[in-house]
Amino acid sequence: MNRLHEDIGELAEIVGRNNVLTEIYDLLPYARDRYPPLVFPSSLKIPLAVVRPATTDEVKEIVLWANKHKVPLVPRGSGTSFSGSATPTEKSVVVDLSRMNRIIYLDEDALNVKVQAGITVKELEETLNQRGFTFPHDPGSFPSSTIGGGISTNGLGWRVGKYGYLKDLVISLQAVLPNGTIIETRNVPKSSTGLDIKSIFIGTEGTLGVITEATLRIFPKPETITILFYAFADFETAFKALLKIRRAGLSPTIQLVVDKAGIEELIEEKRCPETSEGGLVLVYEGLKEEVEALRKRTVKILAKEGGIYMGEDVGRSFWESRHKMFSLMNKKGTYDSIDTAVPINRSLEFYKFLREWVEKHKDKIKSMGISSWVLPENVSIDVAFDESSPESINAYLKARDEVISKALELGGTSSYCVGIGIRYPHFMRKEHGAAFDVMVAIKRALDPNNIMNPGKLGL
Amino acid sequence: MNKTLVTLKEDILFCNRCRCGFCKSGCPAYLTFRIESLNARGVNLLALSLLEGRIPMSRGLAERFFACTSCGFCKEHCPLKVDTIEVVKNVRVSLLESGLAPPSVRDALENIYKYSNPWGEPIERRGNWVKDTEVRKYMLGDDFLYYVGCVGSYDARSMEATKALAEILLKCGLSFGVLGSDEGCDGNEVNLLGERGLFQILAERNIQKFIQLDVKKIVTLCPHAYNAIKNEYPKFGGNFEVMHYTQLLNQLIKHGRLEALKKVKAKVTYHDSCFLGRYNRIYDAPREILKSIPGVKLIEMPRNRENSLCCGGGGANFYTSLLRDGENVPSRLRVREAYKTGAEILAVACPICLIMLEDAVKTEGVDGELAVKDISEILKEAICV
Repeated sequence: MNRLHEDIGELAEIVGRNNVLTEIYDLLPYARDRYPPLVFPSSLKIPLAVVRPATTDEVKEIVLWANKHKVPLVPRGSGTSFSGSATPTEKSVVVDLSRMNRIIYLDEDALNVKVQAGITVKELEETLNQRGFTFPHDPGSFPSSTIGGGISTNGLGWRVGKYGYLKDLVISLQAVLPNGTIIETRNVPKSSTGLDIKSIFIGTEGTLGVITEATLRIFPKPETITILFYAFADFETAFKALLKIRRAGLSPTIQLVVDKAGIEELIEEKRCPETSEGGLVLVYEGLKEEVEALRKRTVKILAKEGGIYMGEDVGRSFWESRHKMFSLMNKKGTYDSIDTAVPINRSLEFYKFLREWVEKHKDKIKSMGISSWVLPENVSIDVAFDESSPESINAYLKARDEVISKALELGGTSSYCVGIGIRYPHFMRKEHGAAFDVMVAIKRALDPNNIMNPGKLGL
Repeated sequence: MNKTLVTLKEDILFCNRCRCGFCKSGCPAYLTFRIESLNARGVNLLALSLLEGRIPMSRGLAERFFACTSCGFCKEHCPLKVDTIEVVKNVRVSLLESGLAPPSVRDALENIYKYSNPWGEPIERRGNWVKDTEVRKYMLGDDFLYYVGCVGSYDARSMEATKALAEILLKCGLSFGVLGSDEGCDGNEVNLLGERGLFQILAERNIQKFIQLDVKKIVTLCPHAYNAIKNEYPKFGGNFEVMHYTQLLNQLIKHGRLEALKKVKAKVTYHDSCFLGRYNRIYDAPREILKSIPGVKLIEMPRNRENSLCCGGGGANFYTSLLRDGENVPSRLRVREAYKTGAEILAVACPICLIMLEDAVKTEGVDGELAVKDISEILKEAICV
């Protein structure tokens, strides 16, 4: 047995032999997450091992082991990241948190739940629903992604308009620092006692430690839900109608503007005029009387703005397909989410840019739809590209960078949801300016051996 | 790599493009071990790696592929409808051809080849269950052939369901008979294990026999046999009107030929068998039978119908036992779900589910509180046979 095998063997002492994977057929599926350019196994870097802890103490021991041997660790929830934040390097060990999937407690009076980081959003939501509650983080990857994964990428779900971002739903966190220290923040919604330590783990993609537990805000399960799907003459009209809704003091759970691609099937079904080139989806949920009042007010405004209501079944069908629609975009090439956001007053300018960009690159990109996703700032584009050769992939990635550059130029962000991972490290300084040095300084201070997910976030 | 796997490359590629992992939450093999190489997303990545020549075939790889119960949850919940069951089956073909299948798989296939059952039990014992019953052999002109299958013919516990169904059919005055020791393995699991040659032999042998006896209608105890006869035998020229017994009994109840009169006062939860449910969309008949029994209060488990969790016995795992050990084997997970509903009876309509779940009830230590019964047994009690 060589030295490397002896070192890996020590991991088995921490988690048990069955929870250390070293065979090629077990390692390959951990060599990628959902980062689109890595479709083919020949492009993957195989980790040294996968280790599967069940407790925070085991995570701590693993981190101490990694420091001792200077082996990088790649924390992984369910591997649903589109940015490659859970892709390993050849000399790293993947820490698979999927065995850490327990609900630690549910406090029905305080309306919070404490979970281990590896529980999937679906597992948590189904359990809560049975007890009359909901945790409203509702990402496209709802059936498979984990709570820890969502927090570590500062993810976003469909139901933001009413309940807020995932980061706002996190009350406290437990994490293992890169030196093996376990820290846990207080279980109170807010404190005025210095730096909000939990926030340094939100969106930092496992570069500053491993999130092991989280206490989350929950809500009573809504009594009712109503989905309004309207067609408009174009994206701009739909977008402006949404702004009117917001200015009227309405805050729908879902606020989605789509371009023609989002209503194409409905045009074919003659649900709206052939000339329609935009759509607006608004969702309300809550108490019956409340939702009815919001619906009535909304319908009035949208009629004035030229919206055409497409029927209850269209709304219901949208709601039911809201998780799988991203998967379906893989039919015409490999799907990628370019999840940019810009300030609202630049949104329509950016939309125009995206349309021109699609036209310019139509030989290598198929637009699956431009949308302002969930909230009006999130003007973004879903695309399908040709993954069949390194050349076609590189041509796509080069074109994608044009979108990011433009979003940053307009004062926006390269990612509102998916994260940086290995896709945009080269844009980190441009986006953050001198603030990026703050991130680098924190990283160096907490992780001097650079063992926590190196290379991600440009760190 | 075999040719068929290459033809499945588009499906395999779809999954590798997408990798949403929606297949994981109800995958029996994944939930048992929580290892990526066991779920559909992992399987399709490994299949593409095999096609690329990136990984070699090995015994370890074979253990991963043969652990799949072919329950169909992955296909049902795949947005792109990738047929991972076919992918698994075709990789298994290559693994079998390379002599890399796990010993329990190899032994089961050898036994089926030699004795027409996976345990190597003597063929002549296959019909022993009819002793002390009024059930007779199938005769020309009978309305139905009662096809029992291996599990219901040999396993002592399942035999109780086999007999219960026979007694109900007798009580209805249905004209039917069995093949007894002339009955052969239906081959459903052989097909799923990727042993195509043996499956063809079994299917053709059964078809030949059914034709010789001029069988028109078949009623099966086992959903696995139902699936093979209904969906696979036509490919070999065997076209028979086949019903699962829950369909037949439900029809008899509706036509007034069968009535549950005696009260069975119990809270009952029903576990959907994969081969009735996801494979053949038979969700209502078993529930309608239960609802027709006075006193039965039917409660659903959160995972039901197309979302049902496999008992872990499908795809030959019932006898190859690659998913039998551990806290989170599917049967134990399922029993916990059933127990949580407050049900007193966990009803099934499959002899494999019956044994898997009854064993799990004991392992979970709830055997005094939750009884596992086949619908035939519950109905038999209610019609006072």
